Amino acid sequence: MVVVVQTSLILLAAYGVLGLIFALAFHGRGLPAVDTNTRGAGVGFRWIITPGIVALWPLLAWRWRTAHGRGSFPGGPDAPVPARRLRAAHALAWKALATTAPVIVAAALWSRPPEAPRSRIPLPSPSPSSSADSLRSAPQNLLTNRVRHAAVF
Amino acid sequence: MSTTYRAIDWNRQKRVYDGTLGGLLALGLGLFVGISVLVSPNITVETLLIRGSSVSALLLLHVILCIGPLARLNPRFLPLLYNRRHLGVTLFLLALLHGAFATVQFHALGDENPLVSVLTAYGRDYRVFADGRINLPHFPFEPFGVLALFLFFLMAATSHDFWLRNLGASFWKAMHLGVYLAYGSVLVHVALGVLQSERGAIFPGLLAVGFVVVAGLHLAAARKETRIDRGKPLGEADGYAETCRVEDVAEGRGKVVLVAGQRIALFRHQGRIHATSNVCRHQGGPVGEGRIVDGCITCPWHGWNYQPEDGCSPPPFTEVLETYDTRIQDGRVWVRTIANPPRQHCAGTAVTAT
Ligand code: HEM
Ligand code: FES
Repeated sequence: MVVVVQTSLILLAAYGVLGLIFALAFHGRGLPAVDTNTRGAGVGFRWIITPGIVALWPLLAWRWRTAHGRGSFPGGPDAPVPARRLRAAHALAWKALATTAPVIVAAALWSRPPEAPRSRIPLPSPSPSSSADSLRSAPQNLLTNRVRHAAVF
Repeated sequence: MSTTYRAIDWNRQKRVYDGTLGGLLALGLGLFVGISVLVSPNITVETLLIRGSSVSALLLLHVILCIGPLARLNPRFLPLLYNRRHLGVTLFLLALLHGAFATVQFHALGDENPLVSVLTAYGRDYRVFADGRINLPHFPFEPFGVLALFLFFLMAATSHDFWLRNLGASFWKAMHLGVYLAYGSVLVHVALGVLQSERGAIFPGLLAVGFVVVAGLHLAAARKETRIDRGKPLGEADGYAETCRVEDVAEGRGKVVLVAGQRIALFRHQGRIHATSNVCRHQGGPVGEGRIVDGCITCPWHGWNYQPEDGCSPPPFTEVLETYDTRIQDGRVWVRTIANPPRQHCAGTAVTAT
């Protein structure tokens, strides 16, 4: 489990670094190629779209390629808005949410233990030094906080 | 649209919008901090930050989810819809504050990478069954917060019209449907997290009320939408379909009608009836619920303009809406079932020519 998470985070970081490099290139030559409205756009605009460039760079790379006439990009500025399909997707999303969310929340409430779960968690070691200690101390830390401020709710 | 992009096209309406949002948030946070300090005087700043940001983010999420259906149900709510992307970005920033502080507070003390800890700490000792029952109280709840935060990030990062245009409205809108997945994740995050240790009924109660309001509004709006699409078919002859009465389309106003199962927008401008597609080229807003402003059809959602005669946006904009030929017969508007070629001039039908 931990290994899977660690590997995924490393892959994610690599994806982000590639995205940053791509963003530099895209700001240089890609923007005017894919969208003429970006000509003369200011620094503010460039900053505001940069997080998205880093996150969605493969899509933009695809779009950039098609701007040079290679292949086609589904959607794009001139594609029609499929209002009907979107309404149907919206309805489907709601049906899924309306059936699952209440069940999960109800189950979670119903299964609340008779007393707060803090009683089941071992006491933390005074100063977390190994990762195992820090793990145990994390929930403990969390729970002491929760208990301290329970009155807010 | 087709002018140079700017980070934010500030105008008076947006300033008022953001000013109101900032004021309400400051008020809400102030109240939250005040009440928390009164109720538990030794509350820490970290906890105030974690809880203040999460509770205001949750509240804002409910507001955001209500705006769409409210605007469908009553045009008086349209001004809320106009700039709701700023609500989304604010929601993300609040959620980020909450997630970051929670990670620092509960996961940054050990040697392990805090991000790994957030994703695995609760899962490590987790057993599905404990004490002969399903062990929901110890279910890892933080990954659901991470998933929601990730989705809020995607939506906030792509909220500029640059993304709408370059990813295509279809993909962009579909991605923003992710808000429902995010909402579901937040519900799980809260139900399996804080609700397991807080014994009170107030928070679960508020959560339930919020869900019922959001779901109820969506249901009401959906019923209204299906009623539009279920309109009974009227006459059809020579490639034209019968729609409403001429009086139903007031001067300067729009009206949505059904033509061959498609929604079409009718407008009356200077005594002539025009028909266009009802789907705005921006985000698919209901053009026919808009009005004529300065001689242009104006979408009710964000105010994009189209000329009634040819469906073109006035220069320098380049978007085009499909137009349809019309005719008037026995006091009713008939609309051609096939659209005109794009940009074709179409004078519309004079209302007196019955
Ligand atoms: C990286 C992502 C996130 C992490 C690590 C995280 C972590 C936590 C933790 C540890 C708590 C319990 C705090 C306590 O009991 O004092 C909590 C509670 C909560 N979280 Fe999150 N969360 C994340 C994202 C989110 C998001 C995106 C939302 C959506 C609005 C959210 C909404 C809440 C709410 C409403 C509570 C209950 C009130 C509170 O205790 O603060 N969380 N979260
Ligand atoms: S949908 Fe935004 S202006 Fe029409």
